[in-house]
Amino acid sequence: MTEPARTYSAIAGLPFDDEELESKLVWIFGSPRTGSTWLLEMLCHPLAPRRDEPLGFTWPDGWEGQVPAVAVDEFLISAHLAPYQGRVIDIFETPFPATLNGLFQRRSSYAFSTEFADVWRPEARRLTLVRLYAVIERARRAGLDVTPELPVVVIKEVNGSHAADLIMSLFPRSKMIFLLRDGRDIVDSLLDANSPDGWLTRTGLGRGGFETDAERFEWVRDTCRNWTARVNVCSKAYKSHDPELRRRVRYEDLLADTPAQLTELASWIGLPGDESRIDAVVEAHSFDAVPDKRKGKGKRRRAATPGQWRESLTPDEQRLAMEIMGERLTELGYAADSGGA
Amino acid sequence: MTPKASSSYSPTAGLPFDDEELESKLVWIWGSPRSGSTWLLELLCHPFQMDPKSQIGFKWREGWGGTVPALPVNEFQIGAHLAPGIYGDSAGDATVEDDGGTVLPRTLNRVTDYFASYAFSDAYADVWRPEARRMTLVRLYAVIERARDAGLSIPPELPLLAIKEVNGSHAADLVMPLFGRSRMIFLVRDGRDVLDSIVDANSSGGWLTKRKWGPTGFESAEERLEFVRENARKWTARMNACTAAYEEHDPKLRVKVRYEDLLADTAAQLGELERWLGLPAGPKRMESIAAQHAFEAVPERGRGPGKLRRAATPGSWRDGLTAAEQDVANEAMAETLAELGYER
Repeated sequence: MTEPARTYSAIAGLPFDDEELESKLVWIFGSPRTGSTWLLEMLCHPLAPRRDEPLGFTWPDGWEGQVPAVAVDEFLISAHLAPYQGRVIDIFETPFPATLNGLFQRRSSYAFSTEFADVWRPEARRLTLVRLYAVIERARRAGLDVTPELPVVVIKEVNGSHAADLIMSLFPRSKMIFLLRDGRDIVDSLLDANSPDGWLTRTGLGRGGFETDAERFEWVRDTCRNWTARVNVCSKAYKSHDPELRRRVRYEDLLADTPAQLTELASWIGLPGDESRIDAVVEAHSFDAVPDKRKGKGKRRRAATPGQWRESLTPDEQRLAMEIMGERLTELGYAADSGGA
Repeated sequence: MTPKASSSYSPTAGLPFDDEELESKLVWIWGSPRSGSTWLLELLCHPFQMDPKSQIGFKWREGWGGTVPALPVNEFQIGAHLAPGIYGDSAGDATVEDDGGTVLPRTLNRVTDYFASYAFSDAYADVWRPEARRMTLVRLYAVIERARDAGLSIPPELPLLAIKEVNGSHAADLVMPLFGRSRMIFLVRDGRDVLDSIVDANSSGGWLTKRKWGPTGFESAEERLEFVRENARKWTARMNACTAAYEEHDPKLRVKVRYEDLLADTAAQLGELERWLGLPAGPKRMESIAAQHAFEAVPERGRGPGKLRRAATPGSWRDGLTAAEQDVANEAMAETLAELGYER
């Protein structure tokens, strides 16, 4: 038991400077199937995200270099701070993800109510920082050469994008990468992942295919709405964030000129960005470097070819996608055509 | 380490209250929705009435100046945050079987806890658990502070906080170990009556349908049967999570309350609970509270089929569920019903 403090402090007893750590965080938001793991790996090279390893990542045997950035893959804090309710709701005709917070925020007794936001927000921030600091501490203990000042921590949170607005508002000193990809290619990629032999099906989280065309059509509709809702939340978070601390990255641009894009990002984040290093990182993580048996149809790494939706979505599905996603796609700079439809 | 940093980490530094004392004042109500949990909360926290849109979540008679026995926290839902659903499931909506075949809620934690990088992973449990406990305590302490600010007479020592968390019951086995000094009320009701009540609430004209929270009615008998099947499984999963929490909790700090017993002799059951909690439990007070919160005291327009307060009649499922629905319910619930002392 400790004696109660005279005054409350949400940052007392932290073995790190909370503002400094916050400024070292780089959040990757957007959508799954946008190359987010690829980007995480490049930013944190040579650390390789491995979720089931004790630290959540590994590094090459005998490597003794200084850690540029620590990788946190699928942190999923967003799922805890704003539990997604599995559906999209329209707010003034704009789709947004339904969260528990949205449903209950006006009920004072709800843990995360608006009425008590001044109470839970600093504590939610603290919990997140303490948890992330532990990654740095354990990396040090594991013998990695981590700089005395806090290193950059890159957090892949695309599967928590439904809560990007809440998370970014808790960490205004952190950096935000809004990773974009043509939503139609995302639908196409998810269709493949949910096929009977798709990787998502094999993990027990996929649909295992569709029994009828109508069922597939409805699934495409839901997936298009989900994408739009996620992009809406991320856009909201992005617009409210300090312009110097945010970057919008298009998967297609990253793929087209990876060294240039990565150099720009590394410089912004404060990571080593000399040409030879960038070239080595890009080469090590290129699609061509993935062994053949680990890429292709039904695999996590499928094609790395923008525009595949034109071949795989039916004309009706392409029209539906445009109907739902069209406005956002145009805003984000994607061709507002409906392919072969 | 930077100048602003503390020399050593403490998850309880900077708290304006004794964390262990506050923890010992928490009374969690777990079980299942539609088991009389709001009624029990109001009985324990009389004279407070739940008022979700008021500043602290409850109200009291104007001019009331008594000492607060226990503060209510209705639908806290911390369970839904500490153990959310996975990739689009609402918390507690999906189920999974463990290696022994026990049906349990399918939560993100249960499916993902082996990913070290996941915020609430097993590998980092020693990190997130004390902070999740702290966040919860700070949030609950604010209720006491605001009740004081609102002019309520609260004793200098911390009052009890009764937390209705039946809608977070899928996470009972995660939340209770965080608060080993707190009390646990495991509120049970015949699962078939729970189902009957849920079917009524989700039928056309039902109170959940009116709020657009449910399936908004059933188009066919098959659809309704499927709904019964899913909810029977959900009830079983929730009860199994609560049972696991109950079995692990200090026997002196836990009690199992059957809705049917509470209904049959409210004053006696309430008296027992109040004594266990250290609250005033004189027979006259118990009789008075029981009478004020009795089903019969609810105005007629506020009760009946389709309403939040429906019938308060154990065994309604025999008439409310069809024979096929009863079979489906019994199939999914039989083992858990028997464990909880309900006959087939």
